[in-house]
Amino acid sequence: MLISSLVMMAIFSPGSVVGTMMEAGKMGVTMCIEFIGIYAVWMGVMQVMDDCKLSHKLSKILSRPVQYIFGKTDAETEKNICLNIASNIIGIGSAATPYGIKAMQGLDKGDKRATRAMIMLVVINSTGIQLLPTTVIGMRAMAGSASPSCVLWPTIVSTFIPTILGVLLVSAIYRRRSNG
Amino acid sequence: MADLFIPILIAFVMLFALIKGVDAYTAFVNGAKGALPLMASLMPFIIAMFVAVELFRNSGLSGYLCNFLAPVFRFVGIPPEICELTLIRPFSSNAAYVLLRDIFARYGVDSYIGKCASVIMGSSDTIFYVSSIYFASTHVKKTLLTIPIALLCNVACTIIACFCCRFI
Repeated sequence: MLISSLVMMAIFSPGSVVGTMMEAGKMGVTMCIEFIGIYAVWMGVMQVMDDCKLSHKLSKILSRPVQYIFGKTDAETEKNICLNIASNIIGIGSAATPYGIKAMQGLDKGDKRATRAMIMLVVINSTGIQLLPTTVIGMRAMAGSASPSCVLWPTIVSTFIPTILGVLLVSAIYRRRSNG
Repeated sequence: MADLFIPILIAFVMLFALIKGVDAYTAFVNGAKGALPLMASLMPFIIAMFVAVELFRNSGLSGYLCNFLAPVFRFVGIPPEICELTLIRPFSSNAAYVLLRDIFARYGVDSYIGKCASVIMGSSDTIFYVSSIYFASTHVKKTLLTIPIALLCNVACTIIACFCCRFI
């Protein structure tokens, strides 16, 4: 993508290449500085939630549906899956990934083919089940929106429907023949 | 309504911390401390993506691609202006944030397009990145239908997002 863009620009407007790149670099720095502010506030709030063990509470509630969706797994893996989903919902993505990876390793039986439970976990994670779109709301506020969080309910709707769709699709296609 | 949700949530968290005897101030400061190192590690990637996206833009390549795809997008109810965002979202969060910021500047945060873009950004994830790091930790070589299913969900997410935004 980058090379083809450069080639096109070199042909049509060679003078503007460096200008564009430097301008982009400058805008990149501005965005990073805005992001430091957004992240600092939210990471602070997340840390408070984390210290209260809120994600652990949520993961307890989730254990039933997780057992149902993922089928039989060992206790440790199940705990990791619950914590992964719970952290995702609260929005601590950085905490979700290590749990997710541990869960994947727990599901791994040394097979070369992905199992149903693995596919399920990746699909759930890649539909981004986040309750609070923290960064987006922060960006909207910085861009001067009259109502930064008005996107909240559409975000929740359009994150949960595809997640349910994903879960149904994976269950329908892979049945329970390859539990693991 | 939605504007009240976040203040209430934060108040709830603080109250919960009080009940649990957690020092909310120290916890907040500890969490916020992580923002600068995190950003410092992300900055090179964000700048690289910024340069790539701007070049892709200014070269006119993305314009051709989006003109080509516009009828398809219009058919399913997605405004063609956010075509670039929907194409880049599954690959890179940083590049998508670059585009989102640009959409806010160009069409306004509170416009229909701005709202659609926000919802898409908030409700989807980087499919290719997530599946590569998750599967990288295992022995799996064949991911079977993981990516197609995730992509299908992503398309559904985009269409639902644009539909929901008609009502706000």
